[in-house]
Amino acid sequence: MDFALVLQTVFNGLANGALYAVITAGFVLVYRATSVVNFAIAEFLLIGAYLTYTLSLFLPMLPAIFLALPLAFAFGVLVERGFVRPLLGRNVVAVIMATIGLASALDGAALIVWGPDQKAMGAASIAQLPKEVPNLAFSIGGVFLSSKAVWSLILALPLAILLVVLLKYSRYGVLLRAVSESETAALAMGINAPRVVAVAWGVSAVMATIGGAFLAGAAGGGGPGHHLVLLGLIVFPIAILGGFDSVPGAVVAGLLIGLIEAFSQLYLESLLPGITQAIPFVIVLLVLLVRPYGLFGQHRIERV
Amino acid sequence: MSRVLLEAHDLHLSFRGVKALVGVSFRVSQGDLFAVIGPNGAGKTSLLNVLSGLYKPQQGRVTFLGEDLAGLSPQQRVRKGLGRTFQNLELFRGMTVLENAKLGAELAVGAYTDLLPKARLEWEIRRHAEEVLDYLHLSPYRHAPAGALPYGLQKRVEVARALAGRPKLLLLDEPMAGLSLEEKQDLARFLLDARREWGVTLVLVEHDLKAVLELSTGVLVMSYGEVLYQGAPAGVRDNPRVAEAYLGRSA
Repeated sequence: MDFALVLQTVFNGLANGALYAVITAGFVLVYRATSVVNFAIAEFLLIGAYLTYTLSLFLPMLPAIFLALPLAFAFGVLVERGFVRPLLGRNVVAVIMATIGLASALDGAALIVWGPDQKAMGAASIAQLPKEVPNLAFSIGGVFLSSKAVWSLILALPLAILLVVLLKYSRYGVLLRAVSESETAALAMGINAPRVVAVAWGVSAVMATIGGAFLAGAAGGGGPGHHLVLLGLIVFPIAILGGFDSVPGAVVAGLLIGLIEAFSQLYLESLLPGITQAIPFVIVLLVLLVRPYGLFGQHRIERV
Repeated sequence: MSRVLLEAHDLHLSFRGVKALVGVSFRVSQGDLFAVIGPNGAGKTSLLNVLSGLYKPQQGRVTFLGEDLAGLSPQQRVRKGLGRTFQNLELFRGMTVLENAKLGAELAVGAYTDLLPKARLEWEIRRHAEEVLDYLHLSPYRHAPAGALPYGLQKRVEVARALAGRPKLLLLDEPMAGLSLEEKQDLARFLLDARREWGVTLVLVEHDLKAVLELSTGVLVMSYGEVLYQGAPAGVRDNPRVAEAYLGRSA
């Protein structure tokens, strides 16, 4: 076994996994705060990536990404106000249907606004070269790390970890946990629960945008297209693997799936073509057989 | 006569024709232990929800410290010093007992309305939370997840969380329900102590007539949203309307 190759695969897996972790952490954050499963999460990626793309037409890549984040935050808050808030207290199925409807609507809207063809970041016409963030690719001792992998390791991974830390230790994190445990009590104690929930949606959209922009090639390799929606579906097995209501779980599961995919690509793909797409779901199935509450989910014990 | 802390005037509340409150008026003075009692469905919890701002009465008004509370959100009412606990436990179950109490205490020092941490206050918050836990004999369970404690202790944690917010007036929704006799006596003693120590005025909603009559300084008896009796606890038993509501009219 080639040690350098294995190491390189580890880094690449972690890099991809960090993007998954960021996106899924945002998704789980919303679930924790509001018990809403956001089936439009893949469209959050799409919109985030397209926002970044549009900004990248006028700006260099890095400022474009950073400017897209506040816009994404506003978008997340808007979704909460427009689609989720009106359904507060309704049957959970109603809210799920609403997010599925929202997903279709956003798909359509993206199609109308940005068109069906794949874009290249920062390129108005297909003849131009796509823009990228500054190239950070390097190679040491036979281990080659692409610019994309380095960027996602220095940007996405710390962001995912930061979210976990903030949730645990920051004031707003404690507030969010309080709202997620009992909204009634949070309200009665003077916590501005509606604002906390809106912030959770905003943060979720921000995380999805970072993940989306990078998956869509802001760090090299093309631009946004509708295939992002399919990529976004990876959120569900990762969230389930992590326990669905645990943000740290989502981060760990994201990294894990990233690693497994990378190694499957390296070793299994030649034997079983296409296995890499299926493997996250297979893993989830196996884990759920042994641990129905995922790797980090709360064991639900109900007392009466 | 001490000053009036909370006053409800002619409250009416109905849910699509079901009348929960029909012209309820009462006064709670500073330092009172005011009991609201009545059989199931009498409108006691509805009354509390109106007072704490979760329900909006169709008619009538609530004044707290002479100020009309109409239009104030539950959060704003809490910040004015109107705390409450819930009939069905509403603890932050995944957090430890101390974290629960700290959340209550943060509010008292005015933190948590801000986004950024205030390390300067952290010490005071922690100290106050620990003090309240100590007072309610909850210190041994400080670091246990609140949801894992036995029911009686969880009830006490809820009282601690509310007290940690230094309320001027604490609304307690059936704090005794489901407790054993011993736990009831403990809780009653803690409440009386808290009233003396921190000068908290208590409004106690109870199902159990007997437990309340021994404790309270004033009683409001309700049935089907109406006030049957208001006054000193001593007069309750002799009141014919109360006897009828509780025991039924003899044929």
